[in-house]
Amino acid sequence: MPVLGFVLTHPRPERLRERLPEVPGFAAQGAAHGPRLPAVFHTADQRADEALLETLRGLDGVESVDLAFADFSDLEPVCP
Amino acid sequence: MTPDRREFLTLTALAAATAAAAATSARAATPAPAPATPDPRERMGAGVTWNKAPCRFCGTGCHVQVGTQNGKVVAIAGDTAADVNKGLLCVKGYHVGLALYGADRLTTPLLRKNGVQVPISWEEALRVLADRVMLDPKGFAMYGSGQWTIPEGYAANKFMKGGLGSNHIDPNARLCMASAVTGFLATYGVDEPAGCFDDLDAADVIILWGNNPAEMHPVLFSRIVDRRSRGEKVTIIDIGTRRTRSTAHAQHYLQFKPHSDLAIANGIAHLLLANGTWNKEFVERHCAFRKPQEKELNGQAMTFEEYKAALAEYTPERVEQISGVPARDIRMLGELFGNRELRITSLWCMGMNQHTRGTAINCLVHGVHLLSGHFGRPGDAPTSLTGQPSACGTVREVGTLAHALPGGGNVTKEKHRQLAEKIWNLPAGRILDKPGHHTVEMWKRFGKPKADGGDIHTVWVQVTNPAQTLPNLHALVDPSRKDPDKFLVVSDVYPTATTRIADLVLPSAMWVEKNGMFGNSERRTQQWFKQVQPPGQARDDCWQTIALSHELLLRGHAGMKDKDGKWIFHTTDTKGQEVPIWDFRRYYDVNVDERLFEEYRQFSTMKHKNLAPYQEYVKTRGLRWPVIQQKDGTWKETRWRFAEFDDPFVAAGKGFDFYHSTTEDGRAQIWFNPYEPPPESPDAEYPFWLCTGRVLEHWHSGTMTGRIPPLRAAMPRAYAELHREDARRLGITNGELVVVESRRGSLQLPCWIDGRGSPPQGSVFVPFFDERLLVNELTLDAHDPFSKQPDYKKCAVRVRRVAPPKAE
Repeated sequence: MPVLGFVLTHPRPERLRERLPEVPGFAAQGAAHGPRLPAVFHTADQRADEALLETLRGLDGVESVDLAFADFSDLEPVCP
Repeated sequence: MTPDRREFLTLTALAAATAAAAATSARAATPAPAPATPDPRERMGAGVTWNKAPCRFCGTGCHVQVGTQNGKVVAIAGDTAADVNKGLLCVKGYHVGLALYGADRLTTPLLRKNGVQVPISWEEALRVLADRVMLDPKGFAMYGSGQWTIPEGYAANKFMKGGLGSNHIDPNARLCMASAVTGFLATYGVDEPAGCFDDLDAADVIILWGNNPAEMHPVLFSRIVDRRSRGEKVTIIDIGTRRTRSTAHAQHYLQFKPHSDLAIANGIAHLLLANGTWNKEFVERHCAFRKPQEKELNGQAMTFEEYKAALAEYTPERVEQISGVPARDIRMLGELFGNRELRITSLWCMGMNQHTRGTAINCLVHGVHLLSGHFGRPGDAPTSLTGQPSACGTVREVGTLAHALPGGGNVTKEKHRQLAEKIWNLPAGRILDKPGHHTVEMWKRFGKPKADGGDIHTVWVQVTNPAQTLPNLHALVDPSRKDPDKFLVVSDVYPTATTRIADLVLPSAMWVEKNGMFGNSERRTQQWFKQVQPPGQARDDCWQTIALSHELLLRGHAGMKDKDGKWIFHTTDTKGQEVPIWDFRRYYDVNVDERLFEEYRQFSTMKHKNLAPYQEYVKTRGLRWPVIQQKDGTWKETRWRFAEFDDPFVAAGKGFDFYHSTTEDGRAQIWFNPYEPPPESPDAEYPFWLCTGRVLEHWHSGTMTGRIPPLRAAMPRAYAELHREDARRLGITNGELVVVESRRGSLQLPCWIDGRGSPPQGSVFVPFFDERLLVNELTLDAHDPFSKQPDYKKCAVRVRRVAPPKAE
């Protein structure tokens, strides 16, 4: 199960703070530093990660979604 | 995963994200240190070992912290100590750890026997490879990459140019940034940007010239967007041929007809002169004027009056006619460049480089900055970006291009050959004075019978996938596969379009499975150590080159010895005893990367690209050259070249000094290059423009990102992006299969309307990541006359639906 730490950029991060807990997989968020808001999500597997990213990118006012941490210690190798 | 473990990792992830948010926030206007935050890595406990490495993907050069446990990469964190990214990564940064663990890694050498690739030993593989060299050493070529590490490229360059005495080595970077190289050389006399990424923090205006950093260099783009979120005014102007994710953030989108960017740049220069807003003092002190001359990169001198007269026709109205950009927008650009209160940074990448007039447009954009004086102050810079992690470090600095030598040398220059022969301790005359075959020519020659000029019998490919990425694939790749005299060797980590057609496949180690060094887009040299073992028998590309050299030494190839009779890769331990680095079991007995780098850096002073000792890079997250030792023994990097306030090679009082000026008078060249039509344009038979490129989810030919399920699921196959009106007119619905065909090839793929990007009417975009849908079977191999870089951004195609239209 991937555990992902993101930094979301939003001109009004306090508004984003209210929205994030509604996003599936939300686990935690920290204090904003300027427009940058740290947040953590859990996903069921890698396949869910991209959907999460699209959801985060699609939140009103979100200007960028950057990754700060990813743990994937329990994932198995994959083949196309 | 247990709840406790999940909670623990959640806190770790939050600490990392908080540290990154704090670090990037603190970058703002003042370079204050980031607020103290707990090191998230400490939370992971003793079981996880952390080490630095630059990301494996693009040329931004973000640093990551790699978490390893039980011999496996298990976690990735952004590195808050890295200036480039301050703890942030784009989503590919997550995948850089996972890219090692596709289930189909190549783990043993494979030799084609009776049409089938069968496993063989490394000993047999090296024998086969050496047989091919000995067949005719001058017909043996290497095709490398901007993903080669610096030591890998250096070893390959030395092996070919200093060992075999052959210059038939060229990298895939020929296809992505060679025009940037010739642009810098023709303008400043020396390659690579004068500015750096710090310009993005100081610019008032960012101009994207055919560039989409929101998808291709997301961390850099995030750095710009973040400033706006903090309330700073940053104007983004997107000059492009299709709307992209970057356009969504731009205040101005200037859509131009393909190939007409030269007219736009000339239009800006025209207005600077017409309005009297050019920087007369800067230009008179530091610049000269230049116009083209056939086959001569440095062209010929022209006077200011001639320059002005040449630009006279590029009025805003005339530029509108040529480019389609409204005259008012050309005037807007002219006014911006004419305003010295502003700081303007131009960014570009493949859009300007993959262009049959790539050198010319590169020179013109530099010229606009020089003419207006928007140069050499933080935020005022013309800056090219690179798509590969070491296109600068390994290709441009190590000199793995067919004409180049390490440190900015050129094989046609006697002094440069003499320096190389001195550092490599070779007999005089070992290095040939004629450039080898550039990429397109190399593959053409490989595809021809020897009797017809096909002087290349064997190509050894390392770290790239030409059967997917070369242009006009049917012409450049297919013929050699039908000729029994031709032999293709490929070193790679996964099965690719190229390994599948290879005669010999060699399994390679990747990224933190080996030591390495990269050089990013802002002259930053970076270093990392091996952190996990490669799978099976996969081995370092650098070792592969060295092992072949030793095999040739054993067979008596004279070029594998220096002038004292020692092997060209002779390596000793601290006691002076030879270390058998040709034996992979002993390869890591010494740090081969360090030995090669210390030899290589002797070249770096020739063109003022001074590098620090290897151990300095071990301590840092990279240093931007020239790196100069200070009186106190420390090493200082340079952020802005040619400007007195930061470049140690500019004497006090000079202000600026272009000390490698092509006119040898300290001046940069402001070029006039006329707009000329492209080699192939839409017509009645092929009425659409085809543009190719990349997408956010996949990196280059998709061999790594295609093995990441979420990326593959998000972008499973290539598509043809069409304008809604064109689709309606052709009776094509969204998702329907269409045929896109050029004079060179044809492809069936699904249509995407109003998708990721938005092409204008009469234009179609197809990404090149999908090995099942090879768009490069359609592209043109016409190339720039100086850089030899092909134009992947425009050729003529026609589009039709696969199924016939339904009867009314």
